[in-house]
Amino acid sequence: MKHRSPTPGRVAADALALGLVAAVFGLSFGALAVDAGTAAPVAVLASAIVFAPGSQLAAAGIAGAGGSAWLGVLTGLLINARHGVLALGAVGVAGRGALRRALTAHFVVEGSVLAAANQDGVRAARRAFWLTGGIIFAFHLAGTALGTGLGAVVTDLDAIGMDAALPAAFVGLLAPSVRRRPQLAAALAGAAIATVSLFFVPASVAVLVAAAGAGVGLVTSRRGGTGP
Amino acid sequence: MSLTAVLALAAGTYAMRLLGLWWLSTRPLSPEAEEAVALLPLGLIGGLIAVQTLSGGGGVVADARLLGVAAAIAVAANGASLAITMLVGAGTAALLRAIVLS
Repeated sequence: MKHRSPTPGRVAADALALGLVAAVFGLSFGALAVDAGTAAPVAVLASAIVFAPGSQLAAAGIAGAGGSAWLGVLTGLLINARHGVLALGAVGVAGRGALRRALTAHFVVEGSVLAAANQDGVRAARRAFWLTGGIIFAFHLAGTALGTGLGAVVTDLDAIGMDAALPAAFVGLLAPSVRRRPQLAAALAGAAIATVSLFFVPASVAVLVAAAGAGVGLVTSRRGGTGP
Repeated sequence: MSLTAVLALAAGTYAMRLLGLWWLSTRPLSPEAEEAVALLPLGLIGGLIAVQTLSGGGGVVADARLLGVAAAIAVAANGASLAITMLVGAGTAALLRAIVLS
């Protein structure tokens, strides 16, 4: 089999790159939250205990636009429902024991789950999960703290391509896994399902529905082994 | 955001994460089910990439992001690291915007 899982050095380098993206989203969240009247410590606390940048930005944005706090919370929760699905991919990493499961659950983000999925063997997967999840967490927190200090100085992140940086980072994250055909089929089907769904449902729901792409991956696996 | 809102969002988010993990850890799975579960995050992240690239205005929008992500896919398929893939994606989108806006 030609497939090789990323080396520990590569895992660390990838984690740092993901950490930088998380830091920029933290920065942006911190600045937005403080501008919308959130106390700086509360913003930093949010990054530590919510630890899902997309939902934090959405909730802070709604609060900043004068929307109700509960609308912000509900929108955030809808965005974060995908973490429940992602958590299914962290069962092997968590292993046995209530405390380990409880702790692992909080570090379920795309980066940590996919970094683990890219590895062969539980020990390597566990190492990749914690290294990647830990770095993303620390950078997200540090970025948020910095953002609360900078406030309105942080301006148009889209101009420097930050809105494309996140999907591009996920493309890089998927790359080692999708060398295997069932995985590639699942990801492509997920993308197709989500794109069509965007016409009918909110973006957060479109992402959830995309998990059904796994079915296409499964069929591909039944038809032709794990090639190429 | 108030402290109450932050606590509510955190509690709900953690509950969903834990529910997914716990629910699956407590039941033995057939090899088929295990394979299907392992593929779920792949479908989800494929969908996430599409949504982050195309969503806008209550539907689908093709803008600088699309070319940025297309460039990212091209370099990733040729073995580029995650950092390079990300920089190419962001850089392409930023460059396009700079050209269009100038």
